[in-house]
Amino acid sequence: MKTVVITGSSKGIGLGLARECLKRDCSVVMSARGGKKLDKEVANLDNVFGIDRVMGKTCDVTDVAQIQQLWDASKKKFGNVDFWINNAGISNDTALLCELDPVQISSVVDTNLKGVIFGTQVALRGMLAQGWGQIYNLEGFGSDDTMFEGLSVYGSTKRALRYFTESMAQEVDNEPVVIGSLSPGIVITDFLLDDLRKMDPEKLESIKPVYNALADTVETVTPFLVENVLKNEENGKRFIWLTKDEANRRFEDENYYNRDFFTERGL
Amino acid sequence: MKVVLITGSSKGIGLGLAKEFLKKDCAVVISARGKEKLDQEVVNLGNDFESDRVMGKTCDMSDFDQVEALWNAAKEKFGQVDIWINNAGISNRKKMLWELDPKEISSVVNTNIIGLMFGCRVAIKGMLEQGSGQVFNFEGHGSNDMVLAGLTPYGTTKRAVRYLTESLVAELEGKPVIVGTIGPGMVITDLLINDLKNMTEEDREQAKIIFNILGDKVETVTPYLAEKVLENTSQGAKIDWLTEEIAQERFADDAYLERDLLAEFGH
Repeated sequence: MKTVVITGSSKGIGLGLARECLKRDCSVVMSARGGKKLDKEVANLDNVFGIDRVMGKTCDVTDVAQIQQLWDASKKKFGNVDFWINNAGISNDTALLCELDPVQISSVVDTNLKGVIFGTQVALRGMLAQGWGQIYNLEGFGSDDTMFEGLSVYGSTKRALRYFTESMAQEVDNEPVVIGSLSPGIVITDFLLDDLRKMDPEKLESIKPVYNALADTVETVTPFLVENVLKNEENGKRFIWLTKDEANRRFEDENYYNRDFFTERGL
Repeated sequence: MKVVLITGSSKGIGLGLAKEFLKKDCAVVISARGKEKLDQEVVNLGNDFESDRVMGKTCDMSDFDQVEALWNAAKEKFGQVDIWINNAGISNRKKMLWELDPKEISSVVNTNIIGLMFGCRVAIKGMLEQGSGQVFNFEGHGSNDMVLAGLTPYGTTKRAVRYLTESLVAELEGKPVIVGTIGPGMVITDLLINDLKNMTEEDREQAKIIFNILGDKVETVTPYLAEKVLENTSQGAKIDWLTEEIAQERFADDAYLERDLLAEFGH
């Protein structure tokens, strides 16, 4: 039985990844900053998948001491940690850099960049000691050098993470640990919907067709990612749900571009 | 008279640039965290040039209020800021990620990314208000996706700088403020000499070969960079000293292959 730790997993893609790992007989450690939502989701999954395969532990990934506690608690409960997924991430409001709240700039960099670097560091130390393990980092908008007005800070962190993962794959080249990245594409989550709700209505209308063609739900994307992770043995892999070719194909395919994610979600 | 503000300019490339801009009749604001070294360099520059063209102001770039105060002080003294150069940067010691102190990682991210974002945030806002200006961000190892085991955190931040700048170019299209990057190449500074000291014997010998071929002194690089910055009128300018083409030429040129640049620095 494999043990998977997922940061930022009380909702969205992280929660979806947890569910898919549990479906595939893994033990899962879920983690988030807020205890209430986390406890609720742990209880839900516990009901569905049976006792003792799921555990929750609060963790603010910007605090390396808390990440260490997350590793230690996981290790204590399940004996080993086979997979560690740095999924926790936040976005900034869609706003020009010169109008962004500086506190938000710090938070986005702290969570998305420092959080992942610290998570990788803690997991690596533990996995080198245990003699094996795999670490995955979540890519996002910006990782493939795409730009969007108002998302320069978020995009910078995600582009940096792609570099980070490639550089780390080189660092662990002679070590018994594998590092890779997961690119979920555009996923309809609370995280995304909150962003879109704050957007200028005219702008929102103009980009809806892009989302309708390219986006997917958590339930569609996470099985692909988890299956690939669980069978992977190769260092430096990127598992990409929405490749450029696939994106281009969808704009030609009416089954995709005629979809509507927004009406039923009140947007 | 152009007014140029340079962060991290009490030593190294920042200080070299300050001298070049002063030679070219600009007014210069130099800035650094440490007051003593900064005050001393303000006196030195004031002696070499006219003291009323030089101003110093301490600033910790990771503190937004200090960055804003830096802008305000420069503006108050010289009336405007034409060019703002985000040069302040630190490196982590060359070590595998799992051997690095998390505090060091945090400092590198705070200075190189959060500090640089704050610098852009403050300068762009101020320049939009004054109706003109140029912001330059320093690139470094990692910006061009090159990876090197042991320099992952530094490289990650410098990759983010490239994406951020490109993204800001898009945000500023049609606006009277220009952003660009400066790639200084491999400059022999304290930062680099300290790296050498901390390396293993084997790494050091290898690094010395590369530095002797590709490295340059501050005095060699800064006149070119300052000249190009002052000439620039293009949005998204990339001012690079050591292009890949020049690097390749040097590897085929005996004059560079036989050079012992580091001997001048006691190595």
